[in-house]
Amino acid sequence: MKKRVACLIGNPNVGKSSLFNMLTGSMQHTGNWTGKTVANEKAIVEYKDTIWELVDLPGTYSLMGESAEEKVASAFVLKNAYDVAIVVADATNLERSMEIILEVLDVTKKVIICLNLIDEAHKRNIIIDDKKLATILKCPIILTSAKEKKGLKELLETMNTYQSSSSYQSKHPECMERFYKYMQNKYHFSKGQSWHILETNSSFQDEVISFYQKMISKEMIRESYHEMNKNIVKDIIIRKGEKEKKEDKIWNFLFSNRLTSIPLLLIFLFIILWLTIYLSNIPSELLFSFFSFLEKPLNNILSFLPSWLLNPLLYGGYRTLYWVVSVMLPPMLIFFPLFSLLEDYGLLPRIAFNLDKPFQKCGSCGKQSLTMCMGLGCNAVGVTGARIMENKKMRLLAILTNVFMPCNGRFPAMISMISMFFIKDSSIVGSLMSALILLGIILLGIALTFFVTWLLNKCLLKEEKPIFILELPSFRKPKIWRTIYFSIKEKALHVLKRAMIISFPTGIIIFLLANIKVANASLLQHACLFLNDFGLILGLDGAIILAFLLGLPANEIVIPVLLLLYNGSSMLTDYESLQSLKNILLMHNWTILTAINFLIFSLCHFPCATTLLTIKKETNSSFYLFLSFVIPTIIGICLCFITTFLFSFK
Amino acid sequence: MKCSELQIGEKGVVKNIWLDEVKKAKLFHLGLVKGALITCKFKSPFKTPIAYQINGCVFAMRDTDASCIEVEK
Repeated sequence: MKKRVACLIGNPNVGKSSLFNMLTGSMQHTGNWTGKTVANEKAIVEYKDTIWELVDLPGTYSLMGESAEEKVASAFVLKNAYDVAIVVADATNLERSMEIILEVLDVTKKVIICLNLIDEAHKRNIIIDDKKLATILKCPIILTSAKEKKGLKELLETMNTYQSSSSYQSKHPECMERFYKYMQNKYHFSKGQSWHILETNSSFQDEVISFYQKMISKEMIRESYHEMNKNIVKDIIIRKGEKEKKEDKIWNFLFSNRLTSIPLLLIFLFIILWLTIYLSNIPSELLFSFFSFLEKPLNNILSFLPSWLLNPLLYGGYRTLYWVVSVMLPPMLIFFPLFSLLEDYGLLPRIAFNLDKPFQKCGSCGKQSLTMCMGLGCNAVGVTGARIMENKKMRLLAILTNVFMPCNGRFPAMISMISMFFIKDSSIVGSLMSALILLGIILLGIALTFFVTWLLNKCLLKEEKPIFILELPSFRKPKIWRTIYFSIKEKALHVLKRAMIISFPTGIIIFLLANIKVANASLLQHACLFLNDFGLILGLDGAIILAFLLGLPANEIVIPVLLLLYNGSSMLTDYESLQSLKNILLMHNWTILTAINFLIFSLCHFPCATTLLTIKKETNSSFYLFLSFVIPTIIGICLCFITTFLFSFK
Repeated sequence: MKCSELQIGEKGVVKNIWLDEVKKAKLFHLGLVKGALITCKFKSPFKTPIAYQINGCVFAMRDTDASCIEVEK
């Protein structure tokens, strides 16, 4: 068995990741928007007598790219430590893919070109003379369609048998050619490596290089590639009155139309939320009763443990753990797949496109709306997602405001509040109504996001030139089952794992706080009393504030903790029904104002521990961590204060 | 004329690009270079950004940027 290395390189969104997945069977999530692969993905494939190590590089338009992921890709290519470079080109837009093909050919001669999405090109009446292209570039060209699994075998076969290398010679303007010749003779550098040295200002103590550095600008290099590209492409591609896909036409019309675009977005959001709420009820209950059924057998099995150890573990840790899991898991299993389906379909860039103007007014750009959508699933995911923002300022704005999007962890509490205090019946009409009210809360969150973004932009962050250039990919039918599988595996389970790691110890701590008694009351009751006056000013009470504080590790446990505080019990206990929960709350002087303020405070308070950690990691600054904690909390306090003040007139 | 003045469905050939390096590089990779045929596809409900097509690629830019691109019908 021979061991060899191949890398996959190409423009973003040309189906590189799909191709990689088909080849390796390893499954990384593919999405219909730019910037999905950020780090190199590796996998091993065996084909006949060769073991291939395949490296999937982040998508890039050019080896001259500026962004972090583009640099990762170009560094790998320039190092030339592989046996074959597979350049994946988009058959529907070969003009654009040619650039990177030519650049890679200037670095290495061991190139195989994959014309991907060839079926789609045919559908759109684009004809490509691949034979002619192969004779011009003198390297093998394989037509592939990752969707229809076409050309994969052929590609592997070519990888195994391809020995010779392309003798293609690029032709640059004369002064550049002279420089390349010098570099070739003196350092044995390829053309690609040579211009890379010009660009990076590396530590070569060579006067000739610094001479050419002044002469050859980046612009010239680019122009030169473009010129070659134009000359090659003009004989290769025939576009016979290109047909626009009907789907694209309809959606583009609907999305750019003044009357339909914004309502359409809201409808999508509404449907996702409603499905999440409506479908997750039953599995949540099933999970819950299953885990609580296990409590007794577990107690029997572990009865050899002393009770001071058994009780915190079982009734503190285990109970909090399954509570969080059964409340959190079903909505996440529904939300993330639905969201991923829209993402794969290609809808997300349209959302960014449509909403750019309002964000522009606040000093950010439309892409922030995407991070906000992710935040609806999980704020930590939203904060990480802010990497798609184009400059540092916009990224910070997106990170600091993400918490105003209520995440899945906060939905259940909000929904039960809504159904207890604002909705009368529990039929489908009722669930529709509660989804509508929830949508209203989210709209408030959106308004706050705009306000805070604007404020931060005005007074805090340095001026940076705004930039918004966004590709709008063609709509593609998502691979439904795969998308569901990946979104569950990569987003839902990932978040769930973190929540579990945090909720178990918190459960134990809460149990201990509730059971250690000082002066006839538990530590929790003392804390409640201490916070009570502050809570009352905000139209809440001490227990609610404390519940939010103890909910720092995971927002899911706010209501269970609240119940524990009200009942003065020693462990989390379930309420029989929403009605019984409502009775308990009413017994503790809850009014409609308390419910409203509870909703407001769940929307605006400090982010959960996981999100805070993520913010610290992403910004690498304690100052921004502090801001992300303080800003929403202050706003929440102010809003609660205002509503309480308004209600006092009644 | 300015690229931002193209009506929906109208085509133009790019003559000059008066933008900074960063934006120019980004647009370059989308195929927006001197001599490219650019079509105005549709506009966002807020009038900006505007979607353009070059070859097979549809992309969006703000009207402020589009007005720095000179085209000829």
